[in-house]
Amino acid sequence: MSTVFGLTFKRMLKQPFVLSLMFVLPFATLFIPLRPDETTPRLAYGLFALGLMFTSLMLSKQVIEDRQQKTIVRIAAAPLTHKDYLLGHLSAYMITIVVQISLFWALSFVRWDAPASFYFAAFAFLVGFAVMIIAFSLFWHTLFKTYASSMAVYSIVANLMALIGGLSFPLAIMPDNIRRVAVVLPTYWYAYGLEFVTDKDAAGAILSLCILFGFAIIFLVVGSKRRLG
Amino acid sequence: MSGRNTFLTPHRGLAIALLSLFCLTLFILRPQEPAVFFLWLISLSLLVIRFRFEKTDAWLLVESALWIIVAVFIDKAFLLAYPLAMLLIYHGRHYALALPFLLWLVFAFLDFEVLGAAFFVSVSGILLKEWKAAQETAQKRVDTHREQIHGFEREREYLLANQEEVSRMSALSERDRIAQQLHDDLGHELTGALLALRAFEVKEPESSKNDSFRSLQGRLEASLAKLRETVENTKTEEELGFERFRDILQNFDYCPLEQTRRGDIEAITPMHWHLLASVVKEALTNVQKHSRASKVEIDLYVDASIVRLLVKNDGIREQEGKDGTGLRFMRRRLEGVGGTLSIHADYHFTIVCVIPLRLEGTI
Repeated sequence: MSTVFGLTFKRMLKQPFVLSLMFVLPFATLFIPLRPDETTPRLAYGLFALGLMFTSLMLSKQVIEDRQQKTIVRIAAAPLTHKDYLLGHLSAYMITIVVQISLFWALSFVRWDAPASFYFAAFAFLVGFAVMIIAFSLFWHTLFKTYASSMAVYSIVANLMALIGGLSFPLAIMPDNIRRVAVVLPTYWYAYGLEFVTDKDAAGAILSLCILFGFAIIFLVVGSKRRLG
Repeated sequence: MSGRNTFLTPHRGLAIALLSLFCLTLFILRPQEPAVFFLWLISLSLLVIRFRFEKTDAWLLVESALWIIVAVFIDKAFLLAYPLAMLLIYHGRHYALALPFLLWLVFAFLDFEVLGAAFFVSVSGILLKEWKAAQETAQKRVDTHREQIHGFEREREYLLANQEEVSRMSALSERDRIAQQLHDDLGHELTGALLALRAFEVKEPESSKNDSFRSLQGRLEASLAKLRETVENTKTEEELGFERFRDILQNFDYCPLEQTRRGDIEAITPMHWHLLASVVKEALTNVQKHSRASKVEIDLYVDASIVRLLVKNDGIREQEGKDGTGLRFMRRRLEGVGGTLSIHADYHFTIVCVIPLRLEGTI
């Protein structure tokens, strides 16, 4: 597993565009000011989560490329289990994203004057969302044969998920009909969880976090199935 | 069956039906409450996990019981047991048909949405189960045909290889016959002529001074030497017919072997010996591989029209009721010359091979 883990990092370093994008663009959300009626930077955290959605899909490009270039067939013939291959990849992505999240979190701590409890809970939500979105990226790539087609469809779906899920606007203004549909989206529970944190409803926040992990399990179970073709 | 790979298989159909059911459940439960949605998500996760990793029926029933208990506290949470009921019906457990209706009766008697869901579960479950059964039957038929085609192919290859072997054997046995005839007829004549010449030389010593006489004697001696050399070169080194049969029996050391020969053994031709050697080799290989026998009996009997070979062992037979490939091929080969091969596996395992002395067709 450690070999795959190391190689995944090496391959990631060969994607300077992705790395620079993940450490530049999402940080633009730091410039979003708080509205007078707001006490927590929920919108900035929501938009940062949208950035995470693209970051994780771009990072997990290696998985679909391995399948596309038939590297996965050679790996299958090597003394390496599929579990080790997946664990090596996913842990490398997770560590990279946690670094990105930590950096954003530290800067947001300096940038906005929100209650400390929000920051600690928000960090947990960001990590929960990262776990879910990495699993989702793995699952998403299994639906396509090439990275180009996967990314093309994803850019529409991710924006829709962010929009319906309430990442880019306050949930309070979401109509009830849309909310009824939005519950099936993990993005909704991330936004909803942040709202619970703001309202200091610990039970609701913990349940939302559990739901994010529940989504992660489903995506991981479906996405981890080995596909050679 | 068309060779085309279809996307929609019963398993995928089940996945689609279950997903639809989950959407229906979601619609009925209206889970804006995080706790309700969390339960719904757990139920979906468990189902997804089951699709990846098989679990037993007992586990499914325990899970259903869990949702029914939850239903006491959360309204209509028993609906989460419906996908499990569908899965059970799909796996042929017909008692699960009662589960959705029973839950409807107990928990939501006047709720027609729930009744609709119960019908959806039952009808979809039965249809998917029938679809799976039909596909399995069709698949089994295709597999049987493929197996038969494969069997025929192997048989054809075996018979072709055998045909070549028989041609080679014929050529070799013909060479042997010619060598024998040269040795027995021409060789004896020449030796006789040479001896007569020597006797004449003893009787008439003066004749040895005659050039023509000496030349005749020299040429006769040279001819005899040449004939000996030709016979030596023509005779095959390979063992044919009876020798091969005898060697197979002599080399068998797995268990004691008892052999009897009756009738006019001389009437058996090299072709018969070749066939008998193949049968006995196959039979003894089977004894070694499968029988765990303590004794083998071989009886060779020849009468005016047939040769009969009986190989009997007191061991067990591993594949009851199913002949081995080798014996099946052997039977075909014998049938080709008008012979038969029968197998009896009642108390002792016995192979009886009967070949007509007058062979018909090709070997």
